[in-house]
Amino acid sequence: MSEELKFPDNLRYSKEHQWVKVEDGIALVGISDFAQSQLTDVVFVELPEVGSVVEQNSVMSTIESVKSVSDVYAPVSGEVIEINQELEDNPEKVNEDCYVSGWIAKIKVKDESELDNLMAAEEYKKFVSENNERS
Amino acid sequence: MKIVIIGLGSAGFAAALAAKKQDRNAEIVIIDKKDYDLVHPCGLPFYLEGKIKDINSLRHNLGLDRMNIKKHDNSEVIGIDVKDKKVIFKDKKANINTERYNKLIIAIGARPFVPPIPGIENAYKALDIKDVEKIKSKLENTKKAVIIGAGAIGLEKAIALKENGIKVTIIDIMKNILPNLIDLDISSLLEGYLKEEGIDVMLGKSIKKIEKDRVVMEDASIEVDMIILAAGVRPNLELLDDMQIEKERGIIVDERMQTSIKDVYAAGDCIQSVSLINKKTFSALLATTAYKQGTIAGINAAGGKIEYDGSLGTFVSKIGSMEIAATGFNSEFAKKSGYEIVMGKAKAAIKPDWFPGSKKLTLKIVAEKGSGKILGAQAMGEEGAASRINVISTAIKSEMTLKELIGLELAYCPAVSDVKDVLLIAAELALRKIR
Repeated sequence: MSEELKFPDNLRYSKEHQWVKVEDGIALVGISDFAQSQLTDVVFVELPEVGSVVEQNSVMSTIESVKSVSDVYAPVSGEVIEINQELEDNPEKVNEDCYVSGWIAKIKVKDESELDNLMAAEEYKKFVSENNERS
Repeated sequence: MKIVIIGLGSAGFAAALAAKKQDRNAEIVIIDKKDYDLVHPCGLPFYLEGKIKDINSLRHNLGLDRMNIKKHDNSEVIGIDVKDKKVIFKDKKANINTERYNKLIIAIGARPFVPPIPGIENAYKALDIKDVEKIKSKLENTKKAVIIGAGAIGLEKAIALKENGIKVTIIDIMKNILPNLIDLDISSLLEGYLKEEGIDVMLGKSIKKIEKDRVVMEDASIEVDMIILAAGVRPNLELLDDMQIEKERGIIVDERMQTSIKDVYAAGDCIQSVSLINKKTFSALLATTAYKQGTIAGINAAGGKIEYDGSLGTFVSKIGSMEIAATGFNSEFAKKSGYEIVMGKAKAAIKPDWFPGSKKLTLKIVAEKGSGKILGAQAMGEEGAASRINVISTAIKSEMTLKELIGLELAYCPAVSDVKDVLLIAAELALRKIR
């Protein structure tokens, strides 16, 4: 796959390959560059409902590519306050720009200490390379 | 039966051929401006690029003598007398001459639109063979060029010039590439490709003036040594000003290609085409449409009876290594025409991704939300765009719904295609938005 996967330093990552960026108690959530490269071309993103409450590591959305249907797990617990409507018509944003315009949802974080369960960029990068010899 | 045809382009040629097939005894006379038979204008960019070496290979000799079709070449029509049923023209010796007709077919085409920009006379037109020969002769001394217009002609010329080592900037007043033909998201994909190729694209920019070596916009200016005008075309209608012929942007015809004047037919770029989808008029400006319309006009003029049910504007263009194709309505146009729509877009490999040399194609399909009827599609990729758009064009013509389209059985072999084609994936995604 892609030789140059990106792992931005300012994000935290889950074992299920979600990334999260928390600002003022609001978590911006998406899937990692590694995850999108594994999925290949995303054709559909089933977005969570605004107002729904998610638990850390529970399924919050589904991403379909040409040959896969994968669950997206909430990296933190809280209430979904905004979703990326743009993905309804342009799901390929997840492939093109997973960390910026390909974000999936904003979650009002219930407990910021949950972030400790997530990995920093270096750790996640190591996790990816150890668990996926293919990449 | 004597049929006079004005203009020998795709429509005029198709009309002559069809009329002759319909009635072998018909006397057919063509009056045309050129000194040769037919040119293949869509081949011109490939000559500029260098893929076609000899420009004369684009000039086609039709063997009209053999078919017993008379032609006045180098001749300019100056009037049509519909009462006396005669065409008055200046022949190649500059003598005023006339041809009487029982049936007349007008196939006079279109010419480049010249936007009202001060200094626009410094720009080269790029529609006919003479324009392109002029451009070709200047290529060697050209380093920077501006192309006005991001339509198919502009884009193809841009690639051709780039292949000649020229730094090219495309400027268009519209916000997307191939304006009116494709949606903004597909336009952005194409824009990305052009930029990768080193071609600058400036959209939504109007040109204020053109100086000898400079194109001046509102907030920027570019130094150039060649400017090519490709801002679309307009039907040639001046000739018809004195006739009481019904026209809007182009000549209005019925489904038999008859104009509002008895025994006068028209076809090709000079008429208003009719949409197959909503039967409203639009400008198709395609060689394929012109050829079809010419055929219909020719058969009817020669005593046959055939109707044309409209065009979808199906087109393909090869922009560098990219094939871009579309048919029917894009989403913007569908909405403007009052349809509530659903869309499905997918990017997938044409061949299985494990097969060497597999290329990806992005395909977007637009359908009516209530009925699921397919309204249009756009596709872009290094291969396979046209073949899929042709399938969708067929589907629209037979009024298929998304569900019916998904049921199509398409050919598969890993060296050619994948088990589940991108066309079916896109259709499925659109259908899901209806349910």
